[in-house]
Amino acid sequence: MEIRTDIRTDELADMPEDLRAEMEITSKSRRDFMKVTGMAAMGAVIAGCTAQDITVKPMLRKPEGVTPGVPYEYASTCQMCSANCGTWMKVRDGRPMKAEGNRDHPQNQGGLCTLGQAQLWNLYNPDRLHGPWAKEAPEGWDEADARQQWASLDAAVAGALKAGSVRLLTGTVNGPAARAVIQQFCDKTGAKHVAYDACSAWPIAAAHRDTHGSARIPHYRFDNAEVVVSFDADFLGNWISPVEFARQWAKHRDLRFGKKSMSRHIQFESRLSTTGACADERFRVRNAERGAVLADIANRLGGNFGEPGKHAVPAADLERIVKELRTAGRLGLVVSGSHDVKQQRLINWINDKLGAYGSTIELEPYSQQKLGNDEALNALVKELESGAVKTLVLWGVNPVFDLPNGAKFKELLAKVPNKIAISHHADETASECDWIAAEDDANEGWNDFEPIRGLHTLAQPTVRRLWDTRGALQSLLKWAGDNEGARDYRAFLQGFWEKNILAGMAWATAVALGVRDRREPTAAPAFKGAGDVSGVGSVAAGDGFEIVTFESYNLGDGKHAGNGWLQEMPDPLVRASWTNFAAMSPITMANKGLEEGDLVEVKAGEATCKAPVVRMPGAAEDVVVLPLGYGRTHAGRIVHGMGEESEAVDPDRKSIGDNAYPLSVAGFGSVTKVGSYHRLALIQTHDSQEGRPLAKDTALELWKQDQHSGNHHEIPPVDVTLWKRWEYKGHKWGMVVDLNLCTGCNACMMACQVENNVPIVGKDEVWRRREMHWIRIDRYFEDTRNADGKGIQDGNQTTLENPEVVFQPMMCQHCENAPCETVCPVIATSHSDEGLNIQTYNRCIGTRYCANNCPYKVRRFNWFNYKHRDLTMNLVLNPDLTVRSQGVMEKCSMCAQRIYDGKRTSALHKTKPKDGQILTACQQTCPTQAIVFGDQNDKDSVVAKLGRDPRNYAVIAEINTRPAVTYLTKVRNRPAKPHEKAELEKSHAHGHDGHDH
Amino acid sequence: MNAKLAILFLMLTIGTAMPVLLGIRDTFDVQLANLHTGYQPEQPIPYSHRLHAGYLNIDCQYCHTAADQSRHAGVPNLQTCMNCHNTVKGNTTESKERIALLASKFADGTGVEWKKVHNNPDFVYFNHMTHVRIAKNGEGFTCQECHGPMENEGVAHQQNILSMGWCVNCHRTWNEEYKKQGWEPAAPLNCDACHR
Repeated sequence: MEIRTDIRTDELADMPEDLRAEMEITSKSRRDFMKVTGMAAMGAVIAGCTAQDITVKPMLRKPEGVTPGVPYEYASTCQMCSANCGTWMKVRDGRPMKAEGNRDHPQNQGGLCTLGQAQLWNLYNPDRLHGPWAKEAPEGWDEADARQQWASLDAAVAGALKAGSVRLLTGTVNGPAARAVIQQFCDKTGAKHVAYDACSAWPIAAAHRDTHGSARIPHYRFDNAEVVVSFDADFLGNWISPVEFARQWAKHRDLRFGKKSMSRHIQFESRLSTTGACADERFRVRNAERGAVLADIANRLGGNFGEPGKHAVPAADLERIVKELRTAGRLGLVVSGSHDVKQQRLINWINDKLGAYGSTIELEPYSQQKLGNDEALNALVKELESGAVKTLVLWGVNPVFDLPNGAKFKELLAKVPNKIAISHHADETASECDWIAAEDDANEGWNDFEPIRGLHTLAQPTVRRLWDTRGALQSLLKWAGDNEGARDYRAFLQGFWEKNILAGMAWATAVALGVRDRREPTAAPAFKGAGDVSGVGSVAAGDGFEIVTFESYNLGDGKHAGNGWLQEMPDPLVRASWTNFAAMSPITMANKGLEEGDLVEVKAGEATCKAPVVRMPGAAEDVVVLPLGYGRTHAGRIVHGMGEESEAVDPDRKSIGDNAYPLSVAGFGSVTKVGSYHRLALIQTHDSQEGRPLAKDTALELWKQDQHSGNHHEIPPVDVTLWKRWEYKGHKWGMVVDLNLCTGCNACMMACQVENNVPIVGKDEVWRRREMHWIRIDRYFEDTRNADGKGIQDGNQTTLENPEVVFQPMMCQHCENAPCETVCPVIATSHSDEGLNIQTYNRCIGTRYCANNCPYKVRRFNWFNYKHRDLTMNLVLNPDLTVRSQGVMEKCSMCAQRIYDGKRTSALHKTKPKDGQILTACQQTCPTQAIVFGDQNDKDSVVAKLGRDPRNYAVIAEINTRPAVTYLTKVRNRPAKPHEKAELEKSHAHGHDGHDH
Repeated sequence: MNAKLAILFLMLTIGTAMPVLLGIRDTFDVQLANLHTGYQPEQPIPYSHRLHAGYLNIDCQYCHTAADQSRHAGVPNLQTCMNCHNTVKGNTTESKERIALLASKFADGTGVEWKKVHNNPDFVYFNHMTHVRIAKNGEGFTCQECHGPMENEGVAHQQNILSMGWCVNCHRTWNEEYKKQGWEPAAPLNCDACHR
């Protein structure tokens, strides 16, 4: 471009002489004049600004020991599921901001699952009940006066309880004081207490009643097990106590820090679960055949349980597994999620035969995480049928939704004269009741738990009640006539604990720790014999598809369907969000002429469920897999207005997906295509790595020969860069993710979402690939071969029968040679001298060049302003980082706010952050501790040590991005496959030059 | 003549610039960051720093207690005021009225809604504790180094521009000094030190 040089700087030069004289402005004075007007303009700017006053209202009295802007952690107990892990709730300026696992808690040891991380949505959810609810407002009901409403409700309930024949239906209640309250309520009102779990583990308890004389669920010890054989027990997903089990399991799977051995994990299952995906060997066994496989194993172990029916597992494999179990002996463990009591008895027999009781299975102290009793529930339903129940009190359960015969329960409920619910929501069941005593959120009240016998934990309020709700136990005490306990439940709880539990510990200490561990070794009941296992080896026959249902990984048993974070969290395996699905093996799909996105109706008898078909390689053939928990209609606004899916299922229905509970006991049914359904919100649509080494794996056998096995680079990076090499003189932050330990549980995704103000975008936007998660877990089906030696590639999708799975957490890799930094026209993304790739939101103009140039696809663009539709939800936002607005790019910052916080804390003592002092949100919550963050410049840091591990590699290192995030090769404890051996030999032939160190 | 013309131009400029700037601000919801120098909002009670911090020589952190512990320096809670004003009732009509207003707002629990004088934009994460306790190798800055001599003024106003250039210049200048003295950690110049 030509630069003009003829621009006149003195525009007065051409002015007529007379005018010029009149104005009498010399060039000097004109400059002064411009100064004056310039100041005026500045004045105008200032005037414009001062129009926006920001007010600040300090407290009248500052609570002692609380400083504004400083977060405090309070020990509490997670109540999202009945596993009841210990938490530390981070509270800042009076509001809970983030839940973290309690690192001193013997159960979860710092880990927390997706649900636990998402609990704050439930707290701030504006859709929960704000006060007591009456189906028909009685006379004098004052909409504005909650006190009057509670009085009105309590009076009505007192009347109803006098009617006699009271039943109290709850979920698992394991807290000692909570159980005392229930006892008090039952004594006072003559009520009978019945507990059930929507996703029940009762068959395990029932089997132990028969084989050991005591109905209890044992406390499993995966940390003692060297051979784990699981039959449909999803213990890394959501079975009984998943975080605890994952941590225990990981202990024997960890090959870091010089460990050389791994446990063996063999999974027999009908669907593909996260646990199965992490197993060393996995066999596809339909539910109908499970008993036959079990009987076959038991027979081979020396039992005589009849001729097993025909099943899919080759005899040679079974023989091998039995041999391994026999060798492991008391270090073996067989678990099952089976709902067949006979099968569970057989499991007990096998475990007893191995000597596992007392070693990998503890019957004392035992688990109290699922106390539901299906038999008692069935008895209650019978009573309801006979009309014997006059008053039914329901607490925290939703049987109309989550019983297989929920519709019938609804009819029976209508016939009960007095129905009272204690609930957070006017859910499907509570809205059928006369009264709802609106329940406090878990974070608003005191409570206690005993997840494992003798392990007593406390939950304390971390926020003042947001609305006019009341603790469930307070309600029960009130109705039992204990006004004092109802008024001040903390005092009741403290009194109870001081009398029965603390045993010398100060109350304040117990509150601070959150745990009073009084587990003691006591004599466990002995095995008495397998009992009735007749016909356990037979294979049930049925027509059409076998229907397999499972507790959804994100919605729990359906309780959390109103939680937007959880709805947007994709299923770890089929990678669908905001939807239920009918998953099946691609081979079955091909045989039945079904395609992904077809809307099918699964039908068994009267029960139906409509869902879109998704692919689940690894599911047994002719099996349709349905998640439980979808189809809630009364779960707040989150399940409404998500539009298309609900309309496709049923135009009159406002729910996400269809309820699969009615099919949960069906066994067999039909699958019919009823339409097509294109807008399937899949977060990942490509299953294969296309032979590229992104998520690497190897076999233990080969790894023992050569620790670089599986990690040989075919293409070494060419170290060329446009820029001067970075020098990291102080810290150089980095992260190492051990693929061997990642179970794909999504907890890191949720922790990141809560910590970093990551918005949800809704189904339609996810369908447009516009999800905002800063960290995602890629799930790849391994490109290995089928039994017939053929690998089938159908377009992008693998159609393997039983592919191996590898999970890979993928977040910003914080490249040293970052492709994004080079292309940003406004330097909104830059490199820090501590090795981080920084995104500066206030500088970003949204060109999206960076996202286009990112080879890892980890940058997220704000296509809209994702505002909370209710301001209450804004309370969940982390005040330590920006809430991004429309048109801005964002991505993982490696929790920059935590790094600076850690550095600041250390600098106060003139030190540097110690290794392990700064924990990123994803690392902190990881149940298996697969993620390690630290300073790579510190040679002794864990992250630096793991950087030198032969398994360490960077993803697509060949393009020389030099990421700060590296991975450790997954090692499978199974015999090496021929192609793996061949690859290792090939790399040896080429020498070791290509290693990525 | 000159002066008249100047005034005319001044008014014209203000007349055109004001609506344009206000328009820009309101339309795009832009916060015109860090140009608040001189901002002195009218406070519900015209508290004088000169009297308290200057004449009475009360330490800044007697009231702004969180300055050495938190991101925020903290606006004092009313109990802090009442520590003295339970007995100090004022000696002029005006001061008696003001103290009585304060006492009544404390007694009836309504509290006082102060106007915030120093407002960083939402995307700036300034931390008081770092500057008060960690900077200068632990010596820390005095409040006056950023806020100016508050002890000399009546109702508080913003004395320094507090713009990004102002912050960064200080960080750069001090880093030179840090280098000379061999202190650690240096004042960071990474974007994420303030923007995240």
